[in-house]
Amino acid sequence: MFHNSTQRKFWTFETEEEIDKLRENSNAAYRQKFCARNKNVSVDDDNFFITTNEHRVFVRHYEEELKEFCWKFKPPMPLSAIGTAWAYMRRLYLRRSVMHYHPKLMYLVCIWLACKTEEFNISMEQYAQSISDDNEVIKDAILTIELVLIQELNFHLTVHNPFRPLEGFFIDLKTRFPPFSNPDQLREHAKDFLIRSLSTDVTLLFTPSQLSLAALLSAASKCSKNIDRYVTDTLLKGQPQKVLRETIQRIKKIRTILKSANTEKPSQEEIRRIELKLERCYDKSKDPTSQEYTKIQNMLEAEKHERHAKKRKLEIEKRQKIESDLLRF
Amino acid sequence: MEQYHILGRIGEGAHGIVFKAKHIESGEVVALKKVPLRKIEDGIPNQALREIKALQEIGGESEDAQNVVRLYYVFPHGTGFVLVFEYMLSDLSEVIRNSERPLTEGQVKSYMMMLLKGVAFCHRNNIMHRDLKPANLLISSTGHLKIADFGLARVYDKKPDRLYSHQVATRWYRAPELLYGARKYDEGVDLWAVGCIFGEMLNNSPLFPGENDIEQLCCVLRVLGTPTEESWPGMSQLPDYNKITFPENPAIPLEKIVPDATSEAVDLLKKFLLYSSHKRIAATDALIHPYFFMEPLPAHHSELPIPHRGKHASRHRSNFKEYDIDVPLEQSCIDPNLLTPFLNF
Repeated sequence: MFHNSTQRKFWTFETEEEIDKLRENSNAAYRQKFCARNKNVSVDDDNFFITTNEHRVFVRHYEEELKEFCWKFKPPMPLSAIGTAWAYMRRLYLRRSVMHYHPKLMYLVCIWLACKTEEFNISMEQYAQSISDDNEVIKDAILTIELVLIQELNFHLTVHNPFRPLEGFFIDLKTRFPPFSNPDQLREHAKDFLIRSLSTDVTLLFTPSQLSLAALLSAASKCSKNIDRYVTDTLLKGQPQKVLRETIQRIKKIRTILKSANTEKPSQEEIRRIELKLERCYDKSKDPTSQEYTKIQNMLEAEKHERHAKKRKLEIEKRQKIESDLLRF
Repeated sequence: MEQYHILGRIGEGAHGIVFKAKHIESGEVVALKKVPLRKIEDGIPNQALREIKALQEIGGESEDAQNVVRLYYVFPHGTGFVLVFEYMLSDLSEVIRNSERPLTEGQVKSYMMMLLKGVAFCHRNNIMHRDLKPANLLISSTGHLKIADFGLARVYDKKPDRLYSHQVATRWYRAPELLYGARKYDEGVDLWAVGCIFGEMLNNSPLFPGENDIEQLCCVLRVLGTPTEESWPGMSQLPDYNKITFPENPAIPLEKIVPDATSEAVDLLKKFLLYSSHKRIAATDALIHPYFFMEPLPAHHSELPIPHRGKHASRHRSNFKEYDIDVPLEQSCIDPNLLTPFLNF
């Protein structure tokens, strides 16, 4: 049930400003942390750090990558898994900047986790093969970061996608709204609408059923059909005027956000520029594919080794002391 | 992890060890389930993900969720993570095993009611548990029953074309369609298990204690009779149907199987133990069965036996008698040094 879900409680927001604020905070938090360690960089150096705007563009680019990867995946991935992977990505980069975790790895981890939680069972072997030839490194990296992602998602793994309620509307249209003869003609348009909606913040602002209703209405107007009567006389029949007004308002809002949102792919040059910039300022200690990560891990490993060796040495000394004490008597 | 003081080991689950622990700051006693992550081929096991996923959504404070064990918190620890559950004293298998006399009718009714409420709640949220059995029904110190171990639970679609694994559920409580290798099944598998648990409480011994999968089917068929296309439509299409044939035998009336039960109890039991999954009574419908409205009425939770953990735990308990005047004070208190990191002066 959506009503008592973690999605509604923790991942649905009142206003767009609230969402923007979260992104700004995560950006600022990273800068502060970085500057605490590197005194020669200033916190507000936008030439060095990624700005929130660049963050948005860059995440957007990797959302496209995510979509393409899922689309091409064999066997075909269900929409629910794609939607969930996408939602994980949105949620992650709400409270974390791309400088915390480089999206080049994270989008693959999001898809991997979503496949599991949506019960689209594939093996890591299979998954890694569809990524690249150099799959040992990527395999280990994904498995290492998997737990980190779950943590960043606050262990909230259930995503209510708008695709399911959309199917519900089709069934409802067929059974309760006979004047409309062939609702299935709306399906493709409605799905397109929902997929477009995934790359905007509407998924963080509205319920899945509001989104799917907006998709349905937009599809109807694309096909020059009118199903307003379905909404007023069937779906919301007997509801007070206020509910109807609010619903219409919310649907309108969804459509305006979607219309004004830039859902175009960012240009190659722009991405290349941000990439180069990010290369200098992102947190490599959290990227298992980086040399820094390996170095840190090796260091930790060596430290652990040393600790163990020390402990062993102490134990041996202790035993030797006891033995020699015993011998003395 | 530093926030918890381990009090003892409760048990070992399919994935991870369960500890009894005290939250140092609040003093609350909880159960910690450690899920270790060895570097396994496919990363975090699906079972662990399913459990987190299901419980995060349904383990709320609401009245509705009171018969499902609460997951308070999840946190990473070392290479794995730890699930923090409310602490439960015991489970129904121990209650059945330990009770010197069989449970009274009122007590059975009370347990059944709590079990059905929990199951109804899961099913309403489209979650099938798939491994209901007495050992997974935990009993709190106030006598309440709560469903636990959602390691096999999964969210199900109403779409009938989804394939699931049939290797779920502990054998004695496994529905006949699973025994025949069905890959398409529904929440009916939980309702079958509820029937088995009901029978076990009425008889004080398991209803179908099969030693292996074949014998399990034998046990069921001996009681319910050989199924026919009429009593079980679609049976012959099940994957393993043609692999085994059993000699025809008539059903034994359930009255003979649970000789001490009242006629209402038998009537309700019959409605769970049906070959055809769709015909099994839904949990919400079972809750308004006349059985629950006849004297004796369901016992109040204060009239239910307060169980004790098995031998291992009772030894632990003697170490941790919290208010025993004979035990030196230092032993029953938490080391103040453990507390210092949480104090702000």
